[in-house]
Amino acid sequence: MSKKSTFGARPEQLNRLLSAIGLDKPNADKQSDHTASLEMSAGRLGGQIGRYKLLRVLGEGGMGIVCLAEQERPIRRQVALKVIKPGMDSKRVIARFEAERQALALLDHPNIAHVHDAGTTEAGRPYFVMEYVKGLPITEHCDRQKLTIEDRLKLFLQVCHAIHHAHQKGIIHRDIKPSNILVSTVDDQVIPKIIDFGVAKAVTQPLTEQTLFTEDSQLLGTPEYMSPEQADMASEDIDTRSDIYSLGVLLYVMLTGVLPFDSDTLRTGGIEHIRQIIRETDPKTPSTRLTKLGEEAKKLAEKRRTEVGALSKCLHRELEWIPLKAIRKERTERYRSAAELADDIENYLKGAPLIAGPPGSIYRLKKFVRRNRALVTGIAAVLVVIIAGAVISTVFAIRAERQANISQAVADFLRNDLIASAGPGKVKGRDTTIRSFLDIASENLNGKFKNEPLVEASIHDTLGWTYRMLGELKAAEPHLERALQLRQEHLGAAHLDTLDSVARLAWLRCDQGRNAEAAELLEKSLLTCRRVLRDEHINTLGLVNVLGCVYKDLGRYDEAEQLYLKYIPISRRVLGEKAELTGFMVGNLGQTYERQGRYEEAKHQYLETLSQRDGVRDDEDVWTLLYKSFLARVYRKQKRYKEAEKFYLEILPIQQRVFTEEHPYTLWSIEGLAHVYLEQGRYDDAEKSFSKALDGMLRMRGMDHRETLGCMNGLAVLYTKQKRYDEAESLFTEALEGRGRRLGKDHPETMESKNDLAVLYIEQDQYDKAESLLLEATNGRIQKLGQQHPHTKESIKNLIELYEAWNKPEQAAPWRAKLSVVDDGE
Amino acid sequence: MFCRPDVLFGAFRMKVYDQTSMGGEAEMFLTTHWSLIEDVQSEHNKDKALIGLLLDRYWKPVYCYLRRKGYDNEQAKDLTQGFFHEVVLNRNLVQRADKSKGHFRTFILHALDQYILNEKRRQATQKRNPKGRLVSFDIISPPALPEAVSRLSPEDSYNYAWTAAMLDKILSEVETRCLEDDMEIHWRIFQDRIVQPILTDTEPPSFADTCEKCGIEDQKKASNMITTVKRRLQKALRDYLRIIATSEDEIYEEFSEIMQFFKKSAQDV
Repeated sequence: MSKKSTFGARPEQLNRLLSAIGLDKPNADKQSDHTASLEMSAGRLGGQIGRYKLLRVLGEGGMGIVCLAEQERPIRRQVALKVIKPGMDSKRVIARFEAERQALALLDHPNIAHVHDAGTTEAGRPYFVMEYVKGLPITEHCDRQKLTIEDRLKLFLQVCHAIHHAHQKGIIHRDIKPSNILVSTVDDQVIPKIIDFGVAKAVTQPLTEQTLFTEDSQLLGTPEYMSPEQADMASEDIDTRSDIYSLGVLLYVMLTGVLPFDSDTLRTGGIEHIRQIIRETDPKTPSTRLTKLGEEAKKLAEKRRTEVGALSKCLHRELEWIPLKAIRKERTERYRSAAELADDIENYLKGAPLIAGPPGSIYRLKKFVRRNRALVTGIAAVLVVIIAGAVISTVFAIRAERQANISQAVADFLRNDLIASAGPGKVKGRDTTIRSFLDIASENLNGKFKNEPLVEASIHDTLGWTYRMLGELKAAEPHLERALQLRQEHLGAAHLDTLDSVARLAWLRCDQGRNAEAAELLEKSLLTCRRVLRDEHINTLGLVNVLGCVYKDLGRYDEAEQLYLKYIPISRRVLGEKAELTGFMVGNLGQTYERQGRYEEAKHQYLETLSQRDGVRDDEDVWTLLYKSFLARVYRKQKRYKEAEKFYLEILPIQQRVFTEEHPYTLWSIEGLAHVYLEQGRYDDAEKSFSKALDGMLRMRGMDHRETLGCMNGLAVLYTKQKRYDEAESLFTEALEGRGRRLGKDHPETMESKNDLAVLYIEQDQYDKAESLLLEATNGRIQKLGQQHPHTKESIKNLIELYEAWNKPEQAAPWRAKLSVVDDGE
Repeated sequence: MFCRPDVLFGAFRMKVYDQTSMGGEAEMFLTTHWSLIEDVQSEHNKDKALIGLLLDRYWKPVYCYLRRKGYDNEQAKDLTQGFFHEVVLNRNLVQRADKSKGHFRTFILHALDQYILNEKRRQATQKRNPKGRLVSFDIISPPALPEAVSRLSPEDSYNYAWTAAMLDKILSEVETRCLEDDMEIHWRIFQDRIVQPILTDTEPPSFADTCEKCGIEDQKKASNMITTVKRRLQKALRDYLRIIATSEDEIYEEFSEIMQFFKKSAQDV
């Protein structure tokens, strides 16, 4: 690079160089044009625009000039009047505003500034009249008041709720930034208010060279807060997730004091440069940005009443995941709603696992440990919890003393070998997970207990079950298989421990969706048990219980019912009414009835098993909670919504406390509650619950799991009711395909998806599409569930409705006849 | 002499609309420079830092002016140093500054005239005792007054040196930023197509040649890259002028004035 100085050049050369650089008229000129023109419209300040009397200029921005004005009719009040700068097509601006005006009128939220009116000045410039908000931009307020991180998050929560409110009314803001969120203090209450709703959309133009720069090269708009899709496309294809992005940037700034992308970096490039950065460059994490700021970081930390080290740590541990998830380039990877973003903030504040957290159960497990510090200390203690947890999860009544000796060896091995091999120097950060400990143990296990096969079996068993609990099914499999093999070899097929292994492996097979194999495994074992131990033996009873469950899940309801009806009386007699196993079988029989639509009988079973537990177990008992959730579910199916909701709301907080947020039992309850809301038409609440449940299931079970697919189906039904047809169809298709593959084409749940998808098509008048699906579903349900089943009746009704809507009464007639036969038969 | 472009430009943003109670706009000229100075602990150091800063920025025009006024190298150097000390420490010049004289650039010139008069009265041709100085001022090599300048009037040479110093500063600053931001090619193209041809009085290479040399396939892209650098230079220019302007309007006025000056000079030469 030439470092030739200009000192020495001829004046004329300097002149040319200056001309080449050029300097256009500054903004100030434009602004004084602006003001001048405003004054022209209004006479001087004190004049009128429409029915508003201008009092003084409040400020100027990229969009236009804002004045304080007074309205006299119909009511006297002060308003903020924004006159849009010249160069915009007024008609178009106003037309776009008008299109949203009705929706805007529905915006009624304490944190949203009302937009009252719009019009054009005499000079033809569009103007908007808004609620006058006297306050500071939110970031400035936070800094001035030196709000802590926690206080900033609480303030941000209010903003999220307001944005969500607007989104639910179908309004996207499109220009969320600190200067559009003003914080004022009224009677000691701090109230953030979002301004400019509806205005940004009306005024927004696509991001091109013309709109981006004014003539003097000053950048318009706020690219710092612009989502990739806003930067990229014409602004027609913007959805609520654009606002989520902007909220993410705002949160980033509120937490750290700096933007994800430096203003200088963004603003001194051309349009392509800006687009490229926003679209492609990954922002540095807040903690990283902070550490690179040097001295400035100190001041930023002070404004948050903390120190750089503490702030960085706090961000790095997990808080920064939240803004980072919100500002993902792919909108599908962001939070799905402002409510979800708010939920995660609340999760953080109460120490619950974050939605934005890493995938896999290990993070959740660690959260559980962290939240229950009284119970656990240190890694060894974590392992003890896992082992203890593994014990609780089996469906056999485990006799404590039997486990004692082996447990000790297992615990010793895990503690000594695991922690010793990990070593203090090797434990680094949050990447050292329980999983990695298990992996180390797995490796260490090889050849270690050659002469103690039962100890080895026990360790395999524990490792396998722990992996399974963490959702690591592939890792679990060889361990459980090996445990079973060793025990069969050394203890025999009928030994309790062997059967324990059989049951665990069967559970794993169910997890893997290989239910039929699970049934086979158990049937074989049962044969041996009945032959060697007899029906009355606890081992036999335990196996029966598991097998019944598997039958039920396979849709083989008759076989399940037969099994339970035979063995429950035996269990009652041999083990007692209040025995755990008796309770399990009764509960499982209840579920079998429930699946068949025999709700009253199901309810009876659940109530019975609960009554046996009363006084024996406390409220936090796992199974008590579970049965209560079953009861809630059956109430819902009986349309007894009040009772259903009452039970769910009673058990959910306990479940969240005792298990984690994402434990399957908790998720079932959340999903159950979602259905209750759905059927009552409380769609917002339903959506919140479905989303929560589905997210958890996706994380814990993956896409292809029966429960996840079921939840997806439920959410799709909700979308149908909300007329979100595209989203509904997409989810239904996925659920149907997954269920068909996992459970089989004839499975009742697959039929359910067919039925529901058909209903969606009916809503959209796509009758031919609906017909084939509905016929399959109906016939399938008749075959599998019988004509009396509520679901079968539902399908028949849908068919009738389809043909009537399609104007084919002759096709409806036979189905109507069938239905009346069915109804008469009741 | 120190020269720290990162101190002088970069994240500096300042409202220049403040009126200070003392000295009005003239005092404000100096006040605006405070923000450019970092890590100043005490009043004493503050003054020292300010003197240093003003010297660094404005010594050339003052020195050229003095040389064209007839002072030799040593005398001009001495007076330059003494002048900035006077401006900062004694504030007399500042307080007596005539507001109607307008921009900082011209204000300095008029303050300088005042100072020279005072010094003449105090027999300023005698060498001053360097111990009285807070900041020593060593020109490593005295700037040879370029031929074109040597024919200019003192005031014109002051303006010339002022502008050249400004251009050097902003070109250096933008070059540094371009390199930091991985925009070396941008800067190269701008140099090749704009700066070098002007300074060397040569024809700029064709776009095609430039593109080939820099490894760019698309001429449109090269053109955009030049525009990008231009925008950065405009911003740097604004930032530079903003320090000494009392309003945004003045930035443009100052610039226009400088452009007028050069047109006039070009005609003379």
